[in-house]
Amino acid sequence: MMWILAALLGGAPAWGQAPPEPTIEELLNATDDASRGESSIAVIRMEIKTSRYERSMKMKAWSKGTERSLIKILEPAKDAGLTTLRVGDNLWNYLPKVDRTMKIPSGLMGGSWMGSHFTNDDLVRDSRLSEDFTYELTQRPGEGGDNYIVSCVPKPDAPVVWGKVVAEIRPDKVPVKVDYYDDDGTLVRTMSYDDVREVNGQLSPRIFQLTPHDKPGEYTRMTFEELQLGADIPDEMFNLQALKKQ
Amino acid sequence: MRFLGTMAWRNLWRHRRRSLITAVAMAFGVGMCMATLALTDGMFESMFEVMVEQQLGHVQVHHPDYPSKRLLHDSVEDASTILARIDALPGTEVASPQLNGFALVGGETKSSGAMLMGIDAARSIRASPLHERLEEGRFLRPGASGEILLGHKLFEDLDAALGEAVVVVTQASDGSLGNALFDVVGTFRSGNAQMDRSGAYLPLQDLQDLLVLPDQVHQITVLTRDPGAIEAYAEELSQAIGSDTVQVQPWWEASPQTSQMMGMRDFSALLILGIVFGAAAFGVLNTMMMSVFERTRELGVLRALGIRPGRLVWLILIESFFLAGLSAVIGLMIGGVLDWYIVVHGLDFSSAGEDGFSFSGIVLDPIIYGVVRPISIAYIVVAVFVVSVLSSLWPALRAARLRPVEAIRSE
Amino acid sequence: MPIVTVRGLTREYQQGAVTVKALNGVDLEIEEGEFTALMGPSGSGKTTLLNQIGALDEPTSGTVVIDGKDLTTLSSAQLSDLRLQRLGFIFQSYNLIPVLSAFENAEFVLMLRGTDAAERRRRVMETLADVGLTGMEHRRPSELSGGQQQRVAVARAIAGRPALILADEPTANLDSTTGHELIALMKGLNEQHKVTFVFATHDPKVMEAARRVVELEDGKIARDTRK
Ligand SMILES: Nc1ncnc2c1ncn2[C@@H]1O[C@H](COP(=O)(O)OP(=O)(O)O)[C@@H](O)[C@H]1O
Ligand SMILES: [Mg+2]
Repeated sequence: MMWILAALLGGAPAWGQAPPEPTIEELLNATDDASRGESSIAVIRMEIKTSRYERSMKMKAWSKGTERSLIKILEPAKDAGLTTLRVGDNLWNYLPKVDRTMKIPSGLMGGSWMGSHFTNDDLVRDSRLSEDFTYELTQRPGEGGDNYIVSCVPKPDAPVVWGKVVAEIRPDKVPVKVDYYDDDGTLVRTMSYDDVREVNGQLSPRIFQLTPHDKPGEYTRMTFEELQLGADIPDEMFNLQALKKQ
Repeated sequence: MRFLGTMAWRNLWRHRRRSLITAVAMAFGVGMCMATLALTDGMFESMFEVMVEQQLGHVQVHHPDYPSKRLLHDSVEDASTILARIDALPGTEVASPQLNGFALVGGETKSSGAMLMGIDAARSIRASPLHERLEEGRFLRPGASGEILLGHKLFEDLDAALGEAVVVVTQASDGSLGNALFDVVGTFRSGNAQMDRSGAYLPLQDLQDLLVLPDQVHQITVLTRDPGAIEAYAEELSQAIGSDTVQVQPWWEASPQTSQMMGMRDFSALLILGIVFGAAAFGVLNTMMMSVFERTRELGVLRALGIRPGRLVWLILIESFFLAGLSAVIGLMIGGVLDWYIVVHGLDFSSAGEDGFSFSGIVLDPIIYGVVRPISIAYIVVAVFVVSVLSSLWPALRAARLRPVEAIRSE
Repeated sequence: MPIVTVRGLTREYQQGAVTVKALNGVDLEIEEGEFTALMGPSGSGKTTLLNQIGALDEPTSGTVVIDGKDLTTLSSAQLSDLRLQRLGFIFQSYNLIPVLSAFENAEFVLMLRGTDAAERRRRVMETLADVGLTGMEHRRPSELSGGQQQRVAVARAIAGRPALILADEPTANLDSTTGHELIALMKGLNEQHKVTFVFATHDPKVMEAARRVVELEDGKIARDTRK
């Protein structure tokens, strides 16, 4: 699912256009879209709170197109240098301490990424709300709220693990939150967006918070400390040989 | 009543051939039962060794939630203190701690999910046969660090080589990504398919560091000096440890499935006895029925002479009792020979499976040696008598219900 | 007081659709010390009457009273005990117990009664001497002639000194000489030990020896003569 890359790798540059009234597709694309077809460089703080531990990480992320991205941990010192490379559906971790690169086997894609509430799968899943779901506008601004609410149900063979996704989007196309339901209709997790700022002339939330509903009190919050869009990133950055040199 | 015995005994020999055929048939049943029970006893004994002594231990010590949830955090803390307390108990033979964790293990080109098990090599050698189950290389060296022992399938899957390093990456208890290099010193073949495919042993200390679980273990497996007094030992141990967050369980509580499987020992014994003696019952019933039927006139005469019906029942029952005794004696001789063979030479079941005799995922030695338990033989002998007497109850009651006049008139 | 009192005794058998009255209103008393022959053609009801007196069968109507006890009121165990303590049987075909020796056959009733071993031995040896079988104690029935077997049967019947011995055609399977000897034996025992005998027979020689002859015809007593 692209939203996590959208989150990690470049915010939402398409958001914040002025009226006229957007189509549902436009609303969903705005929620989905990051630097599709473009490139971005971001510095992100990730704060993880679980019942067992709290953890704060700083990372730098590069992305180019929809298929390639690289995330390097900067802090804490113990983990500094840990790097995740994604090319298409594949993920590799570079472990600086042992100077080794490891591919994450498909069987472990459901595991947590770096102790956060994101799974490895979240990093590579590439569905789009407007393409892989059938959607329905269930609320317009003024109909009981200020925002649009779009309810999305995955198409039969879409590569989606959810039963239903409900997105709340502001009239200026800035997402407020997205609820994820499982096949039984239980709310599993919520991604909420906060601290909307203008980046490169576009409105974009700076804070993304993922709250799992089955673990009360836990969350993973990402704050975009820096975001640079349209940067020129060489292709060589996204291969295994280069992974070690980052 | 003694003369009833004399009569019964002589009646038994009246139809020498018939009685002997019945007795020998039952005796073969007795012999087969003895052999089968010796074999199942042998099998269960080795199952006990493999499943209980080698895996569960007599007693397990762990966090109360660990067995059900198997969460990384449900660990026993201050493990070295607790281990010292266990060691101090006089009933302790050996205690072997283990810390478990899930990890990604990677070779040069491939990686695979693995069950990491941190062990104390010196204690493990005394508590478990793992060090004898090596396929290649050597066992973890007591006191060493940075070594890993891989399941032979895992080793193959990783394209690993002895002496080379593998990367172990795991999610530590503090959320960080624990990662380290370990030298592959050997591979094992446990017989448990899942262990062979995903198990990896490494020094306890190393895994504690990797998972950031200092001085913590998930379980301590204890072997006691007296396997007959496990319950009392567990009680004593529980008091010696004296902690709410540390649970002491005898093996049958720790693994109800194993306990259930062991419980099948009695069930299978009863089943075998049931089948064999079900057949024997028909033999006795037939013999005694014929015996009563052809003696109708004689039994009528006995009634006329004034014998009470109840005594007639006794006469027939005593006769079948002697038949049972005869069967038991011959049967014990046949069974003795069979038992001797399977105790001394064992039975080879290697055709049943390539690697050995598999039972619910546990591989046993393909040659099963019989174990003769007096209680099993006692069961059989009692069964012969009970079955014999029970199945002649009907003929006996028939004899008692004969009407004297009609019985005497019959020819 | 008579040992046996039979009153209005009827015994019917169902033979297919026909009801056969094997006994049809028999009244009879047997006194102690009698030596009575029950005569009558085959099918006249002799065996049936002996079985009734011997407490081996139940009447259709009427009563048999032995020792003042009406047999119809007794349980199966009580009837067994009555036979054991008071009655002796001699059958046409000897009916010895094949697995027991002559001695043991004669001893059987005493065994059932629980008589002690020394007394048993004394009585059995004496009885076997009375029937002329001394020295054959250890033979099994199969090792004895018909006459010898029937002597063992007589010994078995009298060893317990019963009040009444019922013998159903005891000589029928024996040749006439042997049969005669047996009758003489029984007569001798009757006189010597005051044992009461009732025997069914259609052997005229037996009739001669009897002191009372009861003649049955079609289940009724036709004549009852005392000599
Ligand atoms: N068990 C029986 N069933 C049917 N009929 C019987 C039975 N016993 C005897 N009878 C009949 O009763 C009659 C008398 O028989 P029984 O007393 O044996 O005569 P006897 O001994 O004088 O020859 C005969 O007609 C015989 O057929
Ligand atoms: Mg007759």
